[in-house]
Amino acid sequence: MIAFLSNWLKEIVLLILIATFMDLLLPNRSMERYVKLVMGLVIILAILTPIISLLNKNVDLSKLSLTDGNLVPGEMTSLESIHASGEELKKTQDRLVIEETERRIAEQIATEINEEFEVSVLEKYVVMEAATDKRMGIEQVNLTISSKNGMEDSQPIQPVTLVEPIVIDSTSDSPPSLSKGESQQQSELAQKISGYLQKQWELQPNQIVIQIVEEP
Amino acid sequence: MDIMQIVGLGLIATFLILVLKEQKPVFSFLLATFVGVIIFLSLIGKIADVLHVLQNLANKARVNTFFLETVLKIIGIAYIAEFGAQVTRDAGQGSIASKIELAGKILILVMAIPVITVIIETVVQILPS
Repeated sequence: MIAFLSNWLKEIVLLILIATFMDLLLPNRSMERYVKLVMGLVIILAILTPIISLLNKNVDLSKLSLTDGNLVPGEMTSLESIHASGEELKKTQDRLVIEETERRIAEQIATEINEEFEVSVLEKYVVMEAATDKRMGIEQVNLTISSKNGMEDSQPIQPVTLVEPIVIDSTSDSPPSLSKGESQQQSELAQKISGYLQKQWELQPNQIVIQIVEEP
Repeated sequence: MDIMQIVGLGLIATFLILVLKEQKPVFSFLLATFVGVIIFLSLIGKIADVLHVLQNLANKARVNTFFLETVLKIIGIAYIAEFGAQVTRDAGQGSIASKIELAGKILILVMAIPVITVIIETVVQILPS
């Protein structure tokens, strides 16, 4: 709009300048009146140019103003709904992000424990803290672990778990404490895993819940 | 050509014409016309410079070429008609000189015809029918 206006003004100013030059250049007084008339007409035409272009474009001004009037309230209402749906979308996205984060952290913890302790993690889920701004924390880690590894790995571990109780038992007590020792070993394992998680993920002990399930 | 050259040429031509007029009036008139043509031709270069400046300005300001063409044509017509009228007037043919001037005026007004039509059309379009 401003560019158009400046072009228009430039044109008019330049035409008037040229007309003045022409007045100086003209050889005779007798021609002056005619030339002045024609220059006046040209300048009027230059001033009218925007109107002519408007007429050629067939812009309907009343229609323009009407559509503007119609659009404004429609936009106002739709703006609110847009904001609302935007909020909803943001909430959904946040939820999805938290779910995905929980899933990934659970996966990672499971693989770490798998590698570190040679046990298989049956169930794992992580609960995230409610987000404050951009930081999120882990609220709780729940793990269900079978102390014995899968089918083939169970073979080498079985002797180890069996051997240790036997050595201890032979020095002190009777065979029935085997199960007791096993549960003790389980709790020891749980302690170890919990300690490992505390160190690795900087968690508090009460945030970690570990269940160890005996697998046949 | 410099102003001194032009003035010198004019003075020499004037003296020559004064001398010649006694003997051969026709030649004196021919000489006057010739000197007039030469001075005019020597000025054409300067006029071209002025017109170039105007054209450059118009191009920079993106003035409609139609306007500029009209203006330049008007200048040209005015100059040529003036020149012809003066030469004929010098020859003592005042009536032909005034006819040439009339032709120049009419041609200048003809230049204005497209402009006048556009303006009238615009006004008619603006007015509600």
